[in-house]
Amino acid sequence: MNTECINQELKVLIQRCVYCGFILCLKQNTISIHYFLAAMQINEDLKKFLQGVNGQGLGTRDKDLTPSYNRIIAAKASGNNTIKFTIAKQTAAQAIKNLRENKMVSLVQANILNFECYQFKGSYISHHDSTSEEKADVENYFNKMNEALIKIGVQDGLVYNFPHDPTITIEFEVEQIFEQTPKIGTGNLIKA
Amino acid sequence: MISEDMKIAMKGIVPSTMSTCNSEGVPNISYISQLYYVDENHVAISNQFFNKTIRNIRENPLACVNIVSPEDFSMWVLDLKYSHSETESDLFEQMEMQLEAIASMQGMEDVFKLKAAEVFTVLSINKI
Repeated sequence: MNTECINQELKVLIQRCVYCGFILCLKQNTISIHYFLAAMQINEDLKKFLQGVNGQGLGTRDKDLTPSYNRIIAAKASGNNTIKFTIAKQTAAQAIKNLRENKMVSLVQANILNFECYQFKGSYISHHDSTSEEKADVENYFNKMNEALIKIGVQDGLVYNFPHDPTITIEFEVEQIFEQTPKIGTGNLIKA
Repeated sequence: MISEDMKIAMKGIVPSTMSTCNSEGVPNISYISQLYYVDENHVAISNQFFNKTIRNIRENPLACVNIVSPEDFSMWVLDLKYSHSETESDLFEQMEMQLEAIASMQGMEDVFKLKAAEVFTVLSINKI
């Protein structure tokens, strides 16, 4: 079967398979099956957690599987299975390039007071320069973090040294959530 | 490569995060207890659980870690490549003692038990 023929068949098969939880991919004239993950509901507790006093980071990777890190400076659920988060524009170029190429998002949050920690994995949807409302979310996050950090002995105002203007906001669909709170047996996938 | 300023950021006061990626290209990001200074071109992380981070670096040796200075919140991002594991060495014993101290402070002595010191070569450093 030649490549063109496989492409034609794929168009039909993808339509049929998308509801069944797998997708066929064409690579070097062969067809392989890849299971994909449906969107996952973020429960109310996790929605609240997302806006807590959490350290938070973004993991992405490029086409050569080189991982990349970005500090996240605000995040919240934007729907029942989507999250919006904000990063400093000056550090965003590689992350945006990676997300445009492969869409894979990994976001970790850990509460700085009780170490409760979750990782959210999913697929990039879009990004844009942060709106005034999203910039206010960043300011709110920094203010909450500053208050919490003072309580654990960190000098007042240090957190504002993280780059936080200008910013971009990224939205992604959550497909998997893992608990990562440090304890024996941690790392489990959270069920929807 | 690794400056004196960076060593202060590697004390574990502000936790670091490490990004990895498995052989299928799925990224993972996780908090780590501490990034240990080995020498000016090498760092190490503690392997306590043989968790996803450790499994990923066995498949794909590349990693990316951030460190934050507790003095002024300066941040560095280090690109790393996994080199080797140590289970019996001065480095392992030193890391074990430091990990016990961190665990004790956080009341997690039963959680933080060192299995191996995972040593990485520093490929590049960017100050944010």
